[in-house]
Amino acid sequence: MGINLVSSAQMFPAYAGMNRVDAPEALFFKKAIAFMKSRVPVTKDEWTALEPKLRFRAFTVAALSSHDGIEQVRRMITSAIDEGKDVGQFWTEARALDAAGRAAEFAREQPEYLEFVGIDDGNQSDICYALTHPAIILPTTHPFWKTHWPPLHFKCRSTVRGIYSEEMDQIREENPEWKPSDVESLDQEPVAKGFGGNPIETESFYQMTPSMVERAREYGIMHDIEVFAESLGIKRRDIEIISAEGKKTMASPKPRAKKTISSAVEISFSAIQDARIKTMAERAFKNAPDEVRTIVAAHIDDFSYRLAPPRGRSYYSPSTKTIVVRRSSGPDVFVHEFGHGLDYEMLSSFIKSAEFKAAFNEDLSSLIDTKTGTIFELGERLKQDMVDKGWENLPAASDLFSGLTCGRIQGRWGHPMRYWHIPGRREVEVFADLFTVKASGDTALWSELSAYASRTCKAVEDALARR
Amino acid sequence: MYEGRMPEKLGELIDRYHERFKDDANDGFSLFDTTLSHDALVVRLERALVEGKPYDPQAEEWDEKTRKAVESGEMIF
Repeated sequence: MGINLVSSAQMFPAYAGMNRVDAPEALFFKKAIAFMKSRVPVTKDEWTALEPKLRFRAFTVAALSSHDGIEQVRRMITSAIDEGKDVGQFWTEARALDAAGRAAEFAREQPEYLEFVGIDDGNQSDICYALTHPAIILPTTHPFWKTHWPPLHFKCRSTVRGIYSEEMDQIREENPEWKPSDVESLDQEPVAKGFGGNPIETESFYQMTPSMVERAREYGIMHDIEVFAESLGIKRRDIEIISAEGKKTMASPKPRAKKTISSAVEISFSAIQDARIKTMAERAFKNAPDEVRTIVAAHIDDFSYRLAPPRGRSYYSPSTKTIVVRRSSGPDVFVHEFGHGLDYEMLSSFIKSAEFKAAFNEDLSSLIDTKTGTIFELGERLKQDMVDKGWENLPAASDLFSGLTCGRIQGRWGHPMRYWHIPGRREVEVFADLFTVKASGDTALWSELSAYASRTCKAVEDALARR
Repeated sequence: MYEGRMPEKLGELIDRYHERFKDDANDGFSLFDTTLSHDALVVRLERALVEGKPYDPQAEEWDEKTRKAVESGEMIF
């Protein structure tokens, strides 16, 4: 399948869920031919720049197209475009495609705030003018973005940019009085009918429609589509294929259950002076099981807490018993550093105990050959699960196995090799990582990780229970 | 559980980097240790792969005081 033959038009069915003015409620494959009007091929560079799910979306339609002779139609239509027909339509759809890519990117790496960005010239619409004078800046999770995701009207040129925590910190430091936009009092033109829907909310931009599934099976290319999706890093579970009856025809594993623990163990965080750290700590142990909450409640007052300076790092200082966290840190970072504190102070350096060392070494020996570094079968399965189950993007899980195996098995997060060569650091971090997972209350994840570090997991559980 | 998701291009770059320098004792790269922005990090990792020399944020970005505090155990990340 020549990737340079894929056109933005072929992705148009992806927006069936966006309620465009002229879009059908549901896409039927033959109607895709009609949508080929005003489409031009994208270059290889443009293709590469596309968000993976959009590429997958393009591939599925492209694969079907080649089998249905649509390429011939496309060439005819392309020549029509050369004559300047329907350019506005193409522009709007191109903007929609760009906006969907941004939405997908922000879903994967969520900024703290989003800013509505318009082009302030004589052609700016009243709709977009109202949202850019002054510019709307709101939290990424604000419901405004569910209904105001560009394009907001035909030929809309506006877009959205993400503002990440470091930039927000700078904004707040420069203007302590800064507040997000007040959309309630906004004198706003209504968004054009059928526009403004967030493509991530609908998740329709990479779904295959029933008729596409039917065609793909008829042509025997369903397997090719699945293989291609995997090559783009799109997990099988993310390929939502809805049958004509509305049922999913491709098995989708259930997301990990995030059980909220109803606990009788109260933790008072009153000893933490800084409001931001206090909030972080409260969130950090919100779902923690009782054995964790008990030990935290007993020792939360034993440490000092402070924010790291700008560009500083989060760490635990054994000499001053201080937990230092970056202001942009998530709750997991607080738990991790608290875990270091617990290990050093309350558990008398549990990681130096014979019990922990034996468990650590046994688990290590089951994953890799400690003399040659050869990865055993269990280790190979772990490597696969790191990818398949997304553990490579879970800092605690990724760092856990990186520390256990001295970097032989790791995801994208973890301490560097040099750090692992400092005596005792691997054990220290493995304990803190397991404490972080335990404190999250994600019992399913704990159970899955235990399959690869059963003895160490049990040793940590036992140590926490003894306290 | 916090998910440290990242753009796929960066993720793939990190995978390639880890594979390339997995046996290099001079490798100091970790997402925990760098303060580079996304774009700068992509450029830096690509440069490391092209040059065949690992990237060491501690040497390039950290001050001496922090490096010593980590080595002495005063700072536990």
